[in-house]
Amino acid sequence: MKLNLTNEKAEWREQFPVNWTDDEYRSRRDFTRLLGLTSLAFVVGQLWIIARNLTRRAKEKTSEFAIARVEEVPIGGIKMFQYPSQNDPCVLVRLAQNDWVAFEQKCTHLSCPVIPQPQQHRFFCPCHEGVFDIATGEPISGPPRRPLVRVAVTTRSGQIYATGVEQGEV
Amino acid sequence: MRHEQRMVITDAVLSIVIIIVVLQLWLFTATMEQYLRGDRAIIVPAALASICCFGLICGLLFVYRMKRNP
Repeated sequence: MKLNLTNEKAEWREQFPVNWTDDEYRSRRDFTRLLGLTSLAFVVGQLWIIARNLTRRAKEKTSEFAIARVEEVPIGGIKMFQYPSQNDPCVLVRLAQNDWVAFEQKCTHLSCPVIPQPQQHRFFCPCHEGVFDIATGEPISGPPRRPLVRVAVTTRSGQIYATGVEQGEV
Repeated sequence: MRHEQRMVITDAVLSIVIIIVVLQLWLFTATMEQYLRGDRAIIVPAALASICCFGLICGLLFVYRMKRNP
Protein backbone atom coordinates (compact mmCIF):
# COMPACT_ATOMS: atom_id res chain seq x y z
CA MET A 1 0.00 0.00 0.00
CA LYS A 2 1.32 3.42 -0.91
CA LEU A 3 0.91 6.32 1.56
CA ASN A 4 -0.19 9.68 0.26
CA LEU A 5 2.18 11.94 2.20
CA THR A 6 0.77 15.21 0.86
CA ASN A 7 -2.77 14.50 1.93
CA GLU A 8 -3.24 16.31 5.25
CA LYS A 9 -6.58 14.62 5.81
CA ALA A 10 -5.25 11.08 5.50
CA GLU A 11 -5.86 8.68 8.32
CA TRP A 12 -2.16 8.35 9.23
CA ARG A 13 -2.02 12.11 9.84
CA GLU A 14 -4.33 11.81 12.85
CA GLN A 15 -1.95 9.33 14.44
CA PHE A 16 1.20 11.30 13.52
CA PRO A 17 0.31 15.02 13.52
CA VAL A 18 3.91 16.35 13.43
CA ASN A 19 4.75 18.10 10.18
CA TRP A 20 8.45 17.38 9.71
CA THR A 21 9.08 19.95 7.00
CA ASP A 22 7.42 22.76 8.97
CA ASP A 23 9.27 21.66 12.07
CA GLU A 24 12.59 21.69 10.25
CA TYR A 25 11.86 25.10 8.78
CA ARG A 26 11.05 26.59 12.19
CA SER A 27 14.09 25.09 13.90
CA ARG A 28 16.44 26.50 11.24
CA ARG A 29 14.79 29.91 11.46
CA ASP A 30 15.16 29.91 15.25
CA PHE A 31 18.78 28.79 14.98
CA THR A 32 19.47 31.71 12.64
CA ARG A 33 17.99 34.07 15.23
CA LEU A 34 20.14 32.49 17.92
CA LEU A 35 23.20 33.13 15.75
CA GLY A 36 22.07 36.77 15.54
CA LEU A 37 22.23 36.92 19.35
CA THR A 38 25.66 35.27 19.25
CA SER A 39 26.79 37.99 16.88
CA LEU A 40 25.50 40.61 19.33
CA ALA A 41 27.47 38.90 22.11
CA PHE A 42 30.67 39.25 20.06
CA VAL A 43 29.96 42.97 19.57
CA VAL A 44 29.51 43.32 23.35
CA GLY A 45 32.82 41.49 23.80
CA GLN A 46 34.61 43.90 21.48
CA LEU A 47 33.11 46.89 23.34
CA TRP A 48 34.22 45.30 26.62
CA ILE A 49 37.80 45.20 25.33
CA ILE A 50 37.56 48.93 24.53
CA ALA A 51 36.20 49.64 28.03
CA ARG A 52 39.04 47.60 29.57
CA ASN A 53 41.54 49.58 27.53
CA LEU A 54 40.13 52.87 28.81
CA THR A 55 40.34 51.76 32.44
CA ARG A 56 43.85 50.47 31.82
CA ARG A 57 44.90 53.86 30.49
CA ALA A 58 43.51 55.49 33.62
CA LYS A 59 45.56 53.04 35.70
CA GLU A 60 48.73 53.99 33.86
CA LYS A 61 48.33 57.64 34.77
CA THR A 62 49.66 57.08 38.25
CA SER A 63 51.78 59.23 40.46
CA GLU A 64 55.44 58.73 41.29
CA PHE A 65 56.38 56.32 44.01
CA ALA A 66 59.71 56.24 45.85
CA ILE A 67 60.89 52.62 45.80
CA ALA A 68 64.25 52.77 47.56
CA ARG A 69 67.54 54.62 47.89
CA VAL A 70 70.10 53.69 45.22
CA GLU A 71 72.56 52.33 47.82
CA GLU A 72 69.91 50.00 49.26
CA VAL A 73 69.99 47.75 46.17
CA PRO A 74 73.35 46.26 45.19
CA ILE A 75 74.16 45.32 41.58
CA GLY A 76 72.32 42.06 40.88
CA GLY A 77 70.06 42.75 43.85
CA ILE A 78 66.30 43.04 43.99
CA LYS A 79 63.72 45.04 45.92
CA MET A 80 60.03 44.21 46.25
CA PHE A 81 57.47 47.00 46.24
CA GLN A 82 53.75 47.60 45.54
CA TYR A 83 52.79 49.82 42.65
CA PRO A 84 50.47 51.47 41.62
CA SER A 85 48.24 50.05 44.38
CA GLN A 86 48.95 47.91 47.44
CA ASN A 87 47.53 44.94 45.53
CA ASP A 88 50.11 45.14 42.74
CA PRO A 89 53.37 43.51 43.84
CA CYS A 90 56.37 44.49 41.73
CA VAL A 91 60.07 43.68 41.61
CA LEU A 92 62.91 46.14 41.10
CA VAL A 93 66.15 44.65 39.77
CA ARG A 94 69.49 46.39 39.52
CA LEU A 95 71.21 44.94 36.47
CA ALA A 96 74.26 47.22 36.43
CA GLN A 97 75.53 50.40 38.06
CA ASN A 98 72.95 52.59 36.36
CA ASP A 99 70.65 49.97 34.85
CA TRP A 100 67.35 49.45 36.68
CA VAL A 101 64.33 47.47 35.58
CA ALA A 102 61.04 46.81 37.34
CA PHE A 103 58.18 44.47 36.48
CA GLU A 104 54.89 43.43 37.96
CA GLN A 105 55.42 40.18 39.80
CA LYS A 106 52.49 38.55 38.05
CA CYS A 107 53.11 35.82 35.48
CA THR A 108 51.32 36.56 32.21
CA HIS A 109 50.24 32.94 31.95
CA LEU A 110 48.00 32.38 35.00
CA SER A 111 49.05 35.24 37.32
CA CYS A 112 51.28 33.27 39.67
CA PRO A 113 54.01 35.38 41.33
CA VAL A 114 57.28 35.14 39.43
CA ILE A 115 60.56 34.71 41.31
CA PRO A 116 63.46 36.94 40.30
CA GLN A 117 66.71 34.98 39.76
CA PRO A 118 69.27 37.64 38.81
CA GLN A 119 72.17 35.14 38.84
CA GLN A 120 70.46 33.21 36.06
CA HIS A 121 69.30 36.45 34.42
CA ARG A 122 65.67 35.41 34.54
CA PHE A 123 62.31 35.52 36.28
CA PHE A 124 61.01 32.06 37.05
CA CYS A 125 57.36 31.11 37.48
CA PRO A 126 57.19 27.96 39.64
CA CYS A 127 53.57 27.16 38.75
CA HIS A 128 54.22 25.99 35.19
CA GLU A 129 57.95 26.60 34.86
CA GLY A 130 57.63 29.77 32.82
CA VAL A 131 60.82 31.76 32.30
CA PHE A 132 61.15 35.46 31.46
CA ASP A 133 64.20 37.50 30.54
CA ILE A 134 65.15 39.67 33.51
CA ALA A 135 66.16 42.67 31.38
CA THR A 136 63.22 42.81 28.98
CA GLY A 137 60.50 40.72 30.65
CA GLU A 138 60.05 38.79 27.40
CA PRO A 139 59.02 35.11 27.77
CA ILE A 140 61.88 32.71 27.07
CA SER A 141 60.35 29.33 27.75
CA GLY A 142 57.32 27.63 29.25
CA PRO A 143 53.66 28.41 28.65
CA PRO A 144 53.73 32.26 28.92
CA ARG A 145 53.43 33.99 25.56
CA ARG A 146 53.29 37.62 26.67
CA PRO A 147 55.99 39.68 28.39
CA LEU A 148 55.79 40.78 32.02
CA VAL A 149 54.16 44.14 32.65
CA ARG A 150 56.93 46.67 32.93
CA VAL A 151 57.07 49.47 35.51
CA ALA A 152 58.90 52.61 34.40
CA VAL A 153 61.63 53.61 36.83
CA THR A 154 63.83 56.66 37.12
CA THR A 155 66.55 57.71 39.52
CA ARG A 156 66.77 61.22 40.93
CA SER A 157 68.90 62.54 43.79
CA GLY A 158 69.95 59.05 44.82
CA GLN A 159 66.36 57.83 44.98
CA ILE A 160 64.66 55.33 42.67
CA TYR A 161 61.11 56.18 41.62
CA ALA A 162 58.39 54.21 39.84
CA THR A 163 56.78 56.60 37.37
CA GLY A 164 54.16 54.52 35.59
CA VAL A 165 53.05 51.16 34.35
CA GLU A 166 54.05 50.46 30.79
CA GLN A 167 51.39 47.85 30.12
CA GLY A 168 51.33 46.88 26.53
CA GLU A 169 54.20 49.09 25.47
CA VAL A 170 56.00 46.14 23.96
CA MET B 1 6.02 31.19 -1.61
CA ARG B 2 6.36 27.44 -1.86
CA HIS B 3 7.71 25.52 1.07
CA GLU B 4 10.79 24.28 -0.82
CA GLN B 5 11.66 27.84 -1.82
CA ARG B 6 11.31 28.98 1.78
CA MET B 7 13.66 26.22 2.90
CA VAL B 8 16.25 27.18 0.26
CA ILE B 9 16.15 30.82 1.35
CA THR B 10 16.36 29.84 5.03
CA ASP B 11 19.36 27.63 4.32
CA ALA B 12 21.05 30.39 2.32
CA VAL B 13 20.50 32.98 5.07
CA LEU B 14 21.64 30.50 7.71
CA SER B 15 24.84 29.73 5.77
CA ILE B 16 25.71 33.40 5.37
CA VAL B 17 24.98 34.11 9.04
CA ILE B 18 27.20 31.18 10.12
CA ILE B 19 30.07 32.52 7.99
CA ILE B 20 29.70 36.01 9.49
CA VAL B 21 29.52 34.70 13.07
CA VAL B 22 32.63 32.57 12.54
CA LEU B 23 34.34 35.69 11.17
CA GLN B 24 33.29 37.59 14.30
CA LEU B 25 34.64 34.79 16.50
CA TRP B 26 38.00 34.98 14.75
CA LEU B 27 37.94 38.78 15.00
CA PHE B 28 37.23 38.62 18.73
CA THR B 29 39.98 36.11 19.53
CA ALA B 30 42.51 37.95 17.34
CA THR B 31 41.62 41.27 18.99
CA MET B 32 41.90 39.81 22.49
CA GLU B 33 45.26 38.27 21.62
CA GLN B 34 46.60 41.54 20.21
CA TYR B 35 45.20 43.56 23.13
CA LEU B 36 46.89 41.29 25.67
CA ARG B 37 50.11 41.54 23.68
CA GLY B 38 49.84 45.32 23.96
CA ASP B 39 48.73 46.30 20.45
CA ARG B 40 45.97 48.76 21.21
CA ALA B 41 45.67 50.23 17.72
CA ILE B 42 43.66 47.23 16.56
CA ILE B 43 40.81 47.26 19.06
CA VAL B 44 38.68 50.12 17.72
CA PRO B 45 38.79 49.04 14.02
CA ALA B 46 38.06 45.47 15.12
CA ALA B 47 35.06 46.63 17.15
CA LEU B 48 33.78 48.62 14.16
CA ALA B 49 34.20 45.57 11.92
CA SER B 50 32.30 43.44 14.43
CA ILE B 51 29.50 46.02 14.59
CA CYS B 52 29.34 45.99 10.78
CA CYS B 53 29.04 42.19 10.83
CA PHE B 54 26.22 42.41 13.35
CA GLY B 55 24.50 45.06 11.22
CA LEU B 56 24.82 42.78 8.21
CA ILE B 57 23.19 39.91 10.11
CA CYS B 58 20.39 42.19 11.34
CA GLY B 59 19.86 43.40 7.78
CA LEU B 60 19.73 39.85 6.45
CA LEU B 61 17.26 38.76 9.12
CA PHE B 62 15.13 41.86 8.50
CA VAL B 63 15.02 41.40 4.72
CA TYR B 64 14.32 37.70 5.19
CA ARG B 65 11.45 38.50 7.54
CA MET B 66 10.02 41.04 5.08
CA LYS B 67 10.14 38.44 2.31
CA ARG B 68 8.46 35.92 4.57
CA ASN B 69 5.68 38.29 5.63
CA PRO B 70 5.18 40.70 2.72
